[in-house]
Amino acid sequence: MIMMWFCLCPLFQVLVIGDLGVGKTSIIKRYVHQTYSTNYRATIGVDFALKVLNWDSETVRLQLWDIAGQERFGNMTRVYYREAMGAFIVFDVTRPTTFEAITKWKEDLDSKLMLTNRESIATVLLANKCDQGREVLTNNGVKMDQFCKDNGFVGWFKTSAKENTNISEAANFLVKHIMATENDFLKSVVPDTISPKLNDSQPGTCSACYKS
Amino acid sequence: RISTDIQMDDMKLLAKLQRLWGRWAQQFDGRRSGKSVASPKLKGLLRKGVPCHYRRRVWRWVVWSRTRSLRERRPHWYHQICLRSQAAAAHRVSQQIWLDLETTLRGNRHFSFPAKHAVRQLHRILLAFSWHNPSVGYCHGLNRLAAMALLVLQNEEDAFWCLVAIVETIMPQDFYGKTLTQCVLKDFMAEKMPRLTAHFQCHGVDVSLVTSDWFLAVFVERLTSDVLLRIWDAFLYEGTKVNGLPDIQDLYTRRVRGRPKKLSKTPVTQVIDCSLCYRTASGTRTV
Repeated sequence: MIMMWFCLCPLFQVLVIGDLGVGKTSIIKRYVHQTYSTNYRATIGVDFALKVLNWDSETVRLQLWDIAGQERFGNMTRVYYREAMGAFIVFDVTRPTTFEAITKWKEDLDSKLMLTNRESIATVLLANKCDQGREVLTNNGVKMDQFCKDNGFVGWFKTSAKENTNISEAANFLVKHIMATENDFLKSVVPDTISPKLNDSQPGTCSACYKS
Repeated sequence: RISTDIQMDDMKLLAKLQRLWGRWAQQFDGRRSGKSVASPKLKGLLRKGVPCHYRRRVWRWVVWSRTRSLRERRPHWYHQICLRSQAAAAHRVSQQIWLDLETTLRGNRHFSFPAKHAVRQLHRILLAFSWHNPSVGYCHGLNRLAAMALLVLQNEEDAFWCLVAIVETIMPQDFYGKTLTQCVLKDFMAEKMPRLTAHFQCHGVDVSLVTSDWFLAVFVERLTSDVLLRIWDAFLYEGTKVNGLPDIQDLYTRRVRGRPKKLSKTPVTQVIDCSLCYRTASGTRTV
């Protein structure tokens, strides 16, 4: 019975992507298991984690996909982008090259994945390792906001998996956006729906099935 | 009565191990390591497991015979390539390697940070390899292979050649290349385990997402060291069929040519059986 209830809760698939070594696995471990270690290995292929959230008296499940950062795993992992409903793109504030790679990751995501209303999925930018005190990149908040706007991110957060900064806030923010897109999507579907009616007065357009 | 039975079993096991040791001594003692020859007898011995104090010699010999032509052609290749690669140490690959080394076999005292001697050796090996084989460059997983080789062979140059032997002579071409695929494993599973494959397909599970880690790093950090070392003993000598896959290269060729063939039983269970026998005799060690 419990299993059935559990399976009926909404499940959102969330991708966590970014260059190698930016801390994707650490963020997920911190968020799901409340632990941090410096010993995580490089992810080969994909790892998964499930987080159960209580959201407005409803239970929501987040399936987090920890995607390998090294380029050559791309072919293997990008096939699985298509089911995702939200994404985190992570960079390391201490390494500018990982910031430069963000646009590449975002473009790649958008090219592989579009919602049915032709919009890209909700994506949040995470500036990780902010505990290291070398965040030259993110000191200018206005600039970062503009960057997010220009590149189609719904928002950005300074995070630290080590010190547990802003991780659940970022996740809640993403879930809020996913839910909003879901609702918009449901609304937008209604006008397009064709409801079959009896006594339809409109003449059929197909000559084979409508003969006068 | 039970205790006498156990004693009898112990005696039998001991006698069996002593016989094995005798055969190892025959095979390797009193010979220069370059002089050994591949034979079914040696294969049998390797499958039963190499005793710890022969392991380094056996691996050196296997690696030597696999990379012999290259090494004879260029005797100082490792040092040359090391110098060349170190000159460009600020390269992107070098940084990737450093990142991975922070988490390579962290549980082992030789590799725990801050930068120990072995970590620097490992960096040199991997960087040199990325220059030696630019089409592979550096791929996650090679760090664990090199670390394993360095632990057993205890020599930087030998570990480098061990990496070359694995990537260039044992694994199929392009296994570590720029586009990784695991189509062979799926074919193998479909043939050997059709029900499991159907079950996975039904739930949309792709096993290669999980298994690529096992195969790219040849089970390093995935199995306990006693089983792992047994698998590596046979893997270095016999090649990929020990991985639980029949000869990947062979299967790959067959797939390409489109001629599926019945596959033989894999020796992986046999290797694990033997390792259990050794575990009782020598106690478990961790890498």
